[in-house]
Amino acid sequence: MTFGPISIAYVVGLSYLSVHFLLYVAILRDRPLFQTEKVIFFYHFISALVFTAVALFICGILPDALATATALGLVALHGIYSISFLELWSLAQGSYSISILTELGSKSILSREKLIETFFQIGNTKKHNRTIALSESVLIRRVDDRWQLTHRGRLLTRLFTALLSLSDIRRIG
Amino acid sequence: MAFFIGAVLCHAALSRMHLPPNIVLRFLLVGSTLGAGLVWWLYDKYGLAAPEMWAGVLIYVFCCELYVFLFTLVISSISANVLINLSFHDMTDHDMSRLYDSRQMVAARLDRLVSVGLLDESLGSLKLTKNGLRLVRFFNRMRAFFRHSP
Repeated sequence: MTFGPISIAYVVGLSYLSVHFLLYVAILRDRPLFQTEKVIFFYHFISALVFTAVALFICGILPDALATATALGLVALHGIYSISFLELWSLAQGSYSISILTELGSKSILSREKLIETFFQIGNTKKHNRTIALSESVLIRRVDDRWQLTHRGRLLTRLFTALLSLSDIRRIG
Repeated sequence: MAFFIGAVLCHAALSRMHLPPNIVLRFLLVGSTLGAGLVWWLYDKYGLAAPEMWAGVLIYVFCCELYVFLFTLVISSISANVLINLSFHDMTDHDMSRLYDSRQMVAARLDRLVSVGLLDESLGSLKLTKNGLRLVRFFNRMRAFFRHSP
């Protein structure tokens, strides 16, 4: 079996992703800074940007179909790794539904009213935080006493609406 | 890309038929069937060792994962709900408060957890199903792995 430049590219790409993951496991996950959503997001986002730039650069100096296919494959691989990681991280951190399931896991059986009462307070705290986060992300803005979408918010909402109508979903939130 | 668009369109058609499995399982069903077709087609055209074959599979998986991530985010996100409501009309703080009514939010979550088979409801009492228990154990391990506070 011989290893050509394409196989080497895949080995280098996989090694990079392994080092990225092991660095988190061995050192970074114990740092308080890496408990914040923003830092963990940028840890993956910056890595994906650099990885994509290097892949495109290699495509540029080796402009053939095989190099392009390999580069796109590797960029997709980073995407799969990062989305899986970030989704698991955020679900484990504080998903509302997972919190409800965990509460039931420790109490065995609970009435619907009791559960609603327990999680009512969490919802109230989230309510305030969400509005601030949306405003800080420049997705909504306050004009006089009314909240309205910004241009960026309107673009994102169009994407959301398209996804909902595609999947025929009528109840969200 | 054509296989991915095919998967999204099949999913859209299946979603309108109101069949029993939940929306994510429906997509997994459609996505994996078309994915198997894609692997067969790529294998036939390029062979197992060709970079085109692996690139095609990886790009397809990435697109499917991104699609599932986005639509589950929109379904469950309270912020997405607010943004969609704001696209119809501006809202005051009072409107926002009504929209965010926490009791309704929790009740909607409970309904969804029952409908996907993670909770079992009888006579107003809720308990975890086997799948629910498995999921709780999995996320307890994940919480420890990511060093999230309990």
